[in-house]
Amino acid sequence: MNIEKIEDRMVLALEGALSNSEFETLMKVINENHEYTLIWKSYQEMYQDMEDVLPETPSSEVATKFHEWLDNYQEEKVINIAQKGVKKGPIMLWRKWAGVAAIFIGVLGFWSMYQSNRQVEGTLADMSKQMERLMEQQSTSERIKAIRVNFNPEKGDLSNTMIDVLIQVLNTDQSSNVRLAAVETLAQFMDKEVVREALIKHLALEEDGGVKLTIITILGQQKNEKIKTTLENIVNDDSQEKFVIDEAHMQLIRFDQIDI
Amino acid sequence: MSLVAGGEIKKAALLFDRYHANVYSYLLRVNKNKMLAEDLTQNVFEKMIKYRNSYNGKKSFKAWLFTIVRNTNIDHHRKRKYSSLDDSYMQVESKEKDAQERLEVKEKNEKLMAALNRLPSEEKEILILSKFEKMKYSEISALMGLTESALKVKAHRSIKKLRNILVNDMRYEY
Repeated sequence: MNIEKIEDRMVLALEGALSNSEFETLMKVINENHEYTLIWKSYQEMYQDMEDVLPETPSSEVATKFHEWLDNYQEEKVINIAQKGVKKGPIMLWRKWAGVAAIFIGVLGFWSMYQSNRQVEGTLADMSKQMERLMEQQSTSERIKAIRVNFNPEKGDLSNTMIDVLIQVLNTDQSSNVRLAAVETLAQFMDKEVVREALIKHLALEEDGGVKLTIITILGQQKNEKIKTTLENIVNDDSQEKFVIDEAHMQLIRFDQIDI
Repeated sequence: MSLVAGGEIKKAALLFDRYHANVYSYLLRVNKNKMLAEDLTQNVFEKMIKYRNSYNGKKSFKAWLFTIVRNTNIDHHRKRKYSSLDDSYMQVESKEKDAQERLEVKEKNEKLMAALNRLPSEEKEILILSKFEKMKYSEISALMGLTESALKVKAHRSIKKLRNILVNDMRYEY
């Protein structure tokens, strides 16, 4: 073995990548040669020095600033909830949509009565209540809560109508946190083609990086050629944020373990 | 972090207390600028809260946090708010550290950092994350968009280069 190879072995030994027998052979070679012994010692000490490096400490101002920011962040949230009903724009949209939904539910309700099927009637009544509850919410946190409670996948499979409602929320709600809640709930139904399609389509429209990241992570768990193409398009799209590209790239790596 | 993602924003203070020194150390070592490292540390934890819902618990919190750290740093340099890096960091640190007790360890640290700063930025980053931040190669490879085997090869070469700089260029005696 030449000195270059001996050095390679030394690094592998310190990385814990050698077997016991390989390590013993290396030690034998090192101990028989003074130059190798010095090189080995220098590597050992360099590793020890790296081990001993302490984290740097920022000034206390950094912690103070962050805690102040965190306090203000919480206050902002409280103010938003307190201002319930003040914002008109998105609420008008919700009401309009709630009207359409109510008519739709009414028609479905009538049909269920016609069928004299109490079970269907009960389900639709529940749906109606759930939807009304969702539509009535005016603060972001209440709408998120409505999604979490009313669209709980543990209650069982969602009907197509309910999934449509969630997709509508995803495509129309102005709050990124509400859209995120919709994405996370829809993620429980990735076996449905309509859900996969909706998430892929929404990805092209979404402006919030956090929502995009979540959708990419969810899509990345599905082995599907269309999703792969979507992720590849993101990786090649320079207008995307760096962290979004990175996440898409990471999911692609996981996807087939070869695209680097 | 799961609690923070679930809406308990106040718990973010605990995460900040536990990880801000790691985040700051990385940013300082990569950028060699204290003020910039402090500003970016603040940005990182603000983003941690903003993007809390993207944390799914599938990778370690530290690996997820360092995705934000790295991207924050890259985004910053893209925007080029700070026109150049401040090399005076090492001198300022030296003056502060001279007054402290553990001079021998400090001297070793400084030598190591000086040698590290002579490596190409990618190799330097790999060593900072693997040796100082003690992150796994699998986590770093995902973070840097490399295969684990490619990362290990680069880390191996970086180690050899670092020793060569210390012993042959800087004449550091072990």
